[in-house]
Amino acid sequence: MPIVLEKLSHVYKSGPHTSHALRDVDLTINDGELLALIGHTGSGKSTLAQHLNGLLQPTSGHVLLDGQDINGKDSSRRALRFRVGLVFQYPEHQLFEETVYKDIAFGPKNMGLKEEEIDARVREAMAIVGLDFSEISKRSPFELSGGQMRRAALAGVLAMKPQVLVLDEPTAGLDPRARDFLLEDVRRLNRAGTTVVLISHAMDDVAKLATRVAVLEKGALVMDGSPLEVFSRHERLGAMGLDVPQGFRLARLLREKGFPVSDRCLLEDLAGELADLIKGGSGHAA
Amino acid sequence: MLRDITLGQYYPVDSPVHRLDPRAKILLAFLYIIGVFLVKDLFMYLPVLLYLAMATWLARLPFPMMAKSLKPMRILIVFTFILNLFFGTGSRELLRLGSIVIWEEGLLNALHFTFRLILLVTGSSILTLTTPPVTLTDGLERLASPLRVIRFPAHEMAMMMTIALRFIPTLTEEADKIMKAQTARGADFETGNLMARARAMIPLLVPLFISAFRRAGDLAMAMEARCYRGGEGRTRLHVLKFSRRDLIAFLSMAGLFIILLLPGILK
Amino acid sequence: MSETAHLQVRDLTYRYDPEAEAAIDGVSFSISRGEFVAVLGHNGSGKSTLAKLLNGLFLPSSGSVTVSGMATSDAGRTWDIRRTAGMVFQNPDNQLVATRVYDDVAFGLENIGVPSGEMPGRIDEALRLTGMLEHADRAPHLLSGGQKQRVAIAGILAMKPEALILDEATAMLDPQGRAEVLDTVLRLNRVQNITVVWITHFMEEAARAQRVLVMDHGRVVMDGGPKEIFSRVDLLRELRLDVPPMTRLAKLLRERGVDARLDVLNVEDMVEEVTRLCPSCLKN
Repeated sequence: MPIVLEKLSHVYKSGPHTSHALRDVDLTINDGELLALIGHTGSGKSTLAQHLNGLLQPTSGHVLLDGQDINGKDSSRRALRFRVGLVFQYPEHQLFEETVYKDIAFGPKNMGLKEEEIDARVREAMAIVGLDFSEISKRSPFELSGGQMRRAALAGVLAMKPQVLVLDEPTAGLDPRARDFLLEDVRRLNRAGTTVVLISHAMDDVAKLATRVAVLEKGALVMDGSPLEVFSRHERLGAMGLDVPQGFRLARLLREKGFPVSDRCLLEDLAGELADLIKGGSGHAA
Repeated sequence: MLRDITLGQYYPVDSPVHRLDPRAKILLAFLYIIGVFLVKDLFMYLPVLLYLAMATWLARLPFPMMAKSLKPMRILIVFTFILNLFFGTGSRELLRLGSIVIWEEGLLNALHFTFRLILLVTGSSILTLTTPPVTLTDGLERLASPLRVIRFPAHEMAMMMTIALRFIPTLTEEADKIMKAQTARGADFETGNLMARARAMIPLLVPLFISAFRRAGDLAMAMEARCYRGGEGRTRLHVLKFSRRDLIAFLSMAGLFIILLLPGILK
Repeated sequence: MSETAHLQVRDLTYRYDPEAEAAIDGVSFSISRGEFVAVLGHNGSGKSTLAKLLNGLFLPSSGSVTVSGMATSDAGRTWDIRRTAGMVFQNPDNQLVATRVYDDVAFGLENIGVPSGEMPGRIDEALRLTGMLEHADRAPHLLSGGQKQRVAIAGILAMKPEALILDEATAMLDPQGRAEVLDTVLRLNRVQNITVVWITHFMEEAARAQRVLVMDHGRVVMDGGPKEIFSRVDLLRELRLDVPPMTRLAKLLRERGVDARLDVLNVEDMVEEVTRLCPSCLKN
């Protein structure tokens, strides 16, 4: 179920002020991708995310889901919304039910599913995010640890079984361990076939996870390619105020000094290349 | 975007009225209200209206804006006019339409109430248009501070108002975000009958309250860390001082009162 | 030794209630005037509790905390301690009180009874030091997260503190905001000689401190320079912590049979290390 953005523009109006949050964005999100959306704060990433399931309506342009305009008259926006799950920043702030179970069941219930189906989905979603059903489902979501609350909120969206999962800064404020857990969940979901759109400032994470990277600047799509292609353009990214993963910076500095090193997304790969180089090099020297 | 909402209706220009001490402005508004209620003869609204026009002009407020301040009140104004016109009784009949009688007293009452309402609303909006909410709070606090002897918590009330003003935009933004997040989970805030809609608010209100409490806890801790310990022994950044400008304003108000009271004295 | 100690913690234990497990469990350390100390630990390790004990927001269940020679348990010194050791919290939205930046910086000064005439000079200076002077008239809710935190810092600076305690002050910020805040605090530490306790779970930030304390289960389990701390990659992993990416790369190199040093904290260090390891690898 590809999502196609066609000449998507969004203008926020408040009184006499207008600001272009998105300008003529053309982007296709393919099935099974893990697309990272990066850009400076205020570049339009979150606005774009909210267009993917019809929370915002375009000022001009279209959002097509499976070829259907999600803001068109004949299509039911509500039904389409359920196919794209949106996890906002700090999603634990939307928890509200008495128990974790009821909170995760909120989405499926709104979809009008039967009791047994809801139960099955809650169990499945909790399993995916690594929350123990018997231990946690009856507890109040507000008694959980920060990392657990985040995962419960994620489960609330997963229980709707979206085909596309959009995550806005999912690891913000988490400690390293909770962050690694969550990213592992995301990777697993993606491998199991869910298309993922990941909005993140953490470039080292993006380099590790993404299959494709799209860069927004002042509401316009300025780069779109593999992580390797995008992060190799350090200077352009730097000019936008964006970091590059440290491995890329290292590779560039080493090349400037004359070491034959290539850009690598994974530190493991870079380590392998460097190790070969050093062992080969010192072999020559010896 | 929601984050750009302005609070209150402060109109940011520099004028002699803007520069009046907030305490003076609050007292003047209070006196003005008394003045409006002193009017017994319809034509005596004229000096009040002139006073208002002069104040508006001095405050460099556009007249259309003053008219706009009446907009939320328009139903009330029309309603009171009609109510007084048709349901008053009196001795002199003006008009009879079948069973409905319009009396002269009714018409006079209707006009009185309408003028009063209009003058009160526009007059007090001069106060809010020329004084930022925080300055207004400040003025109220100082005016009420003598009441501390009877344990009236003037400082605490003012601090609460300031914090409310500070956090309303933050919470509005948050409400917007939570609403979107729940909509994304299929919540429906827009359709259904009253009961259904009230129930639909729970997923919005619970997180919002929890967030407000969390913020309140955080803020209390931060204020304590910044040595806040109530109003006792506090100094203030903004020192309020009455100036000659304030004296002139009070004199002008005294002038208005003389005009309003003169007919009664002369009688 | 103890004459130079600016913040002194002795056998400190803290329980949220008498029955509960100790959140801080017999901790002792001292921090000298002008030191920049990072405190690392996963969530629940006790680092935030420790922060609140350092300026008397919490009082020790047993043991003592001394700030510039004043014990936090001495009720008469509470306010002196809090103005001496100012604190910045995690959520940038929840610590500013006023509707205008300038007025917010005044808040602390009003609380400690600074004469009105003296305030503008101190406020301007504090805003200048944090680079927020040009935003003096703006409403806090219109600022970026990093700017809000700098206003919070300015509010403390105006009170002329000797120490700054930052409790995960960058956790909710974007990378630019984080850099802004860290650079501001590093500069204050260097130029004003303000003692800094920087609580974080970002390893790259801790790497820039002079000294790192690692906490786990309410105890200080490691205490040393960042190079010394981060080179113990395996121990940090056990403590549910990370290491900076370049330290991890060094570790990966070692696993591949290269004799790389582990005390590599940033990209520049790594370039140097690769050059040292293989002077002849240059392709010339």
